[in-house]
Amino acid sequence: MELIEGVLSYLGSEAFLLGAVNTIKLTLVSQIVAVVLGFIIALAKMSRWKPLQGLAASYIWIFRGIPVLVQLIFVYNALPQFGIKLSGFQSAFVALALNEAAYMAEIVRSGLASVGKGQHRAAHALGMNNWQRMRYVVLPQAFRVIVPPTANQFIGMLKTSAMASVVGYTDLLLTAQQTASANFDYIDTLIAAVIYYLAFTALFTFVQSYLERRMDTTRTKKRQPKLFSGLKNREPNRIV
Amino acid sequence: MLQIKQVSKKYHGEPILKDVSLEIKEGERVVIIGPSGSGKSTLLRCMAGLESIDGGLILYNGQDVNGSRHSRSEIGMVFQSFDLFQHLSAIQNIMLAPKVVKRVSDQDARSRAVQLLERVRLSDRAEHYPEQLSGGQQQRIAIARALAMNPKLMLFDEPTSALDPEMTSEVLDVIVDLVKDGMTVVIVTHEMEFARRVGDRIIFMDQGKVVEDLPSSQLEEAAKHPRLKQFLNQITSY
Ligand SMILES: Nc1ncnc2c1ncn2[C@@H]1O[C@H](COP(=O)(O)OP(=O)(O)OP(=O)(O)O)[C@@H](O)[C@H]1O
Ligand SMILES: [Mg+2]
Repeated sequence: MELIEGVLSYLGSEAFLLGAVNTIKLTLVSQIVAVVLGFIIALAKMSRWKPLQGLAASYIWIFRGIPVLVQLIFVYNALPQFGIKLSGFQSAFVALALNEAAYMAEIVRSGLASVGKGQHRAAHALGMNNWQRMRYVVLPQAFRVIVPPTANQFIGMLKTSAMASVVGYTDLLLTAQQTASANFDYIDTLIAAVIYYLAFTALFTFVQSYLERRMDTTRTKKRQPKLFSGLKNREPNRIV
Repeated sequence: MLQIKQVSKKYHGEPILKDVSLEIKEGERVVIIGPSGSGKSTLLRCMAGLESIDGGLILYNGQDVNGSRHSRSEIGMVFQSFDLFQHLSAIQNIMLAPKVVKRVSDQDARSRAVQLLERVRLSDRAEHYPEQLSGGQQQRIAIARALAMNPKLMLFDEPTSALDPEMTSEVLDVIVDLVKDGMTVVIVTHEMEFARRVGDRIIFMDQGKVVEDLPSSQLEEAAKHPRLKQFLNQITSY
């Protein structure tokens, strides 16, 4: 009983509410910026211009290859020596967004690549320009492939954001640690933080399944059993 | 209408079209035949302005098809693999290009699409998605989609070769109707009976070249070229 009361008092405390808000703020801002950057890097990687492809590939290699914690400490501790001094939030945001962009680039790229050549060609033949083809034909189809893993990345980012506590950003984890360092109540404080994390994860999962259902129902509402099983609509295997 | 002047095209350094010259006049129905790999699809894609060429010139009413959006919207193309937009229903497939390319209002695009669905005899499938349609139905929607841009010239690349025989005729009937209405068409096909029925001119391609160009009525008698004779024998011996 005492444990529950203790946890509840932390959950409702101002410090933990602020920590929760800070965690969610860092998560959303970093992940959203990473999605945008991921699109740009994916397009660069798929461009016909070799140097741009190389640049994108190097970006992905570097930012995926170095541990996030190393990137974070570099931004917070090493950049000031080049005259760039960032706050805990700013450092965490920069490091997490740049790192995550490398993963998002791969997700976006596989989504764009899932839209077959025939779709591009048909749109082209109808007189659509590059932008129209992207906007009306490629992206709506690519989104079906991109959205589910992106929602997973949001959940991943929620957890990765806890690293921001090492650069003094008062997120959930740092709040729990600071509270406990005053009263040694590690169990209650950590449980309170964990409850917030799990609640946010549940919320993201809910949004994810909602989005997936919605993308599907636009098509399945009127779906009927396949009447034509002998359907041969695939192109023979060869280079077109 | 369409002038193809000494066109050459390479893929990765390998010549696919070699010095092809052709002229297609308004109202003509041209059928292109030839063995697999002879460059028929490539030629058709070049005509539609979908591929860059390495030499020569393709003019649509005097305008270069490459880089002219105007000519591209007057030339419709139908592919072997249908390539309907998978995320759109049949009627949305037909409405999309008029709306985004020509900025036709939703209402006008819809009423035109309804007409076209009737024309390809699929009014009852307007709200179906491509995966819910048979191959023959998908191909007819693809034809309606191309017609929605009011093309003056229609290019068909083996429109029935991915279809089961029972679905072939429903697609060919739509094309025959189109030809009866006076549409200028270029059709790549292996269906010789259909070729003779709709074509008034038959072009035989082999290894990237046009080797025969005959009125369809004279196909058998005039076939001098040994490759064409051999090809016709092969096809009819199925
Ligand atoms: N995008 C491409 N990249 C590389 N080679 C290609 C490409 N498209 C076609 N080719 C090659 O060009 C040649 C001609 O191909 P094309 O598709 O035009 O032949 P086709 O006459 O239409 O044959 P089919 O009757 O089998 O459809 C083939 O050797 C093919 O491998
Ligand atoms: Mg072909």
